[in-house]
Amino acid sequence: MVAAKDGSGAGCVKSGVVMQLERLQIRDFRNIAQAGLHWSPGWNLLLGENGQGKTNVLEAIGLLASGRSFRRATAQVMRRQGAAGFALQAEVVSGGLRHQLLFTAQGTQQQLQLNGKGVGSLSAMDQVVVAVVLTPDGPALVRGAPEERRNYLDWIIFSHQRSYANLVREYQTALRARNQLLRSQCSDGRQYEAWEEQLVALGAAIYQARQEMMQQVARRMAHFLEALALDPDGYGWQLAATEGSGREAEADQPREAYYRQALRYHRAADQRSGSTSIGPHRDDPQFWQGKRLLARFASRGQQKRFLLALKLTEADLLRERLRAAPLLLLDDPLTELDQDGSSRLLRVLSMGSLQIFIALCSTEGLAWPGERPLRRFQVQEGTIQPIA
Amino acid sequence: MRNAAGFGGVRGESAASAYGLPSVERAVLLLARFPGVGRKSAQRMVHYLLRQGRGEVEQLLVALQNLAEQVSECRICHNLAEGEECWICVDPRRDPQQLCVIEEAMDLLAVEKAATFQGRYHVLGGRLNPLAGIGPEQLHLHSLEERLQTGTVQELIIATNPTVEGEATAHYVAQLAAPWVERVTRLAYGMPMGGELEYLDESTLYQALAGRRPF
Repeated sequence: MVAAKDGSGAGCVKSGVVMQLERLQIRDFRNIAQAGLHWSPGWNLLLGENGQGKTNVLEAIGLLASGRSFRRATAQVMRRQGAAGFALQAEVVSGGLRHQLLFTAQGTQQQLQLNGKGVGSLSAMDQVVVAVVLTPDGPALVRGAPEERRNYLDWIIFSHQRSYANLVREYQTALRARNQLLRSQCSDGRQYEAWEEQLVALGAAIYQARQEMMQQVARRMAHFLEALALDPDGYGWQLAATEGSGREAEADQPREAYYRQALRYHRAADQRSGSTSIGPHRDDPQFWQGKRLLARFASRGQQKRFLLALKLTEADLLRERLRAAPLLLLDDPLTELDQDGSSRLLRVLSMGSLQIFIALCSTEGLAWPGERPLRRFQVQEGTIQPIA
Repeated sequence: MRNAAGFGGVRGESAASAYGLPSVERAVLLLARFPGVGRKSAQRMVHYLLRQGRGEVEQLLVALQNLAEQVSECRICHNLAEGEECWICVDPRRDPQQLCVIEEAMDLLAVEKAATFQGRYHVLGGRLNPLAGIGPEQLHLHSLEERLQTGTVQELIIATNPTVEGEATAHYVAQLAAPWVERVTRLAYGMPMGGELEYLDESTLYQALAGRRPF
């Protein structure tokens, strides 16, 4: 891999190759019976009151880009009430080629087709369309349970290294096996060791991948933090110390040795609780402001700015790997931001060449940067009309 | 598509009975239980047998009966055997100093096909999987330990599958063997011979890269 020159720290989301959603046809999706939309290569604003269907449009785009709903909904939930299924059809221009995408759902079956052929794995989609999503639930990433942050971190790693999914799956298998031994009050040390050795090797690999990604993201984020008026040196992404675990890793101890020791040491206590208390499945990749937790000490506004910088970094890293800018889907991105924050966000977005989809209640009082093409849509009770 | 075939099976069953061919139907249902055999293939097999006539069916009948009566487990290595011991355990040319541990008798046939291994085998009869209730007691580990205790085995080659369960089993076997055997080895991970790099899955490539060695 040759490092992209413009990505080395200049950081703004420029792209070599364009990845652009041109058209989208929606049938029987959520509250949208039928829609045919022609998108702008720059800004796309979905405007409307609450509950009219703005997020549904973003969800449809996200579904095409990632094969899953960012609301974690199943096909049956997403189809329009009374309909047997739904269909999303899109035309995407990517790397100078025009692609046809079709996502269909019938009952519980769903299928993604690329140019008329079924798509088996997500990696096939990398060269066609990829999206970075910010939902109104975004702040849960900062303030919510550790699991949210773990899943998010794992997702970013997975989008850069597809084999990471196997690693996580195998780790889960070994974890379930050890937990089963714990619950059945097994006293055979050799059996524990056999499974713990798997947890040690797989866990250390997961730990390593997470450390590298967190460091990479933290390094890359500086530019975006600055653009959103946060101190670029003051923020970080690091594992929080696990509370209440009797043994911490010594500074220079290899992770394998630490896991091996800690798993053995905690065996008796784990047996009482019936679950494994040590390992990457319990880690909390926390966001920090200096030495303090962002979730506890930063204002909501600061947290929101941080979150936006994080998402822009995610997009920037993807752009570098794919050599094409991903789509950016922002659902109500201006909540919790003040006037300064809003105008800074719009400015940093207008500097890149990302295709952006924003759902907003209104654009009142917003100074829209005029450098890039913009298209507005009015969303009302599931109908979507372009505004002249 | 897959669903339709599943339902088709149920519908076909009643149809065949309706035609008054319960013997055919029973044979089809039994054959369709085989791994890799669906209802369609089972039907073709049955019709093939019917076309071939009585002789062929009787030949198969005898073969199946022999299978049930003659084939059992080797008392030494738990390989399939006709008689007390399998053809490898009774072969004096096989080196008793090298012992290869595998999960299933099928794996033994695979290693034998490579025709380079001159040692002997020990079939575990599965792999550790606590969730399925398979612990060391359910595998042929006692007999393995007994074999190792004689001191004949100089090298133990662990050839369990490269899955998490297979790795855990390998680790367990290695621990068990450590006091008795000088050399415990594990099959290498990496690229299949004759394969093409571009068709390899990411995990295999990752392992192959991690396990690279000087040329």
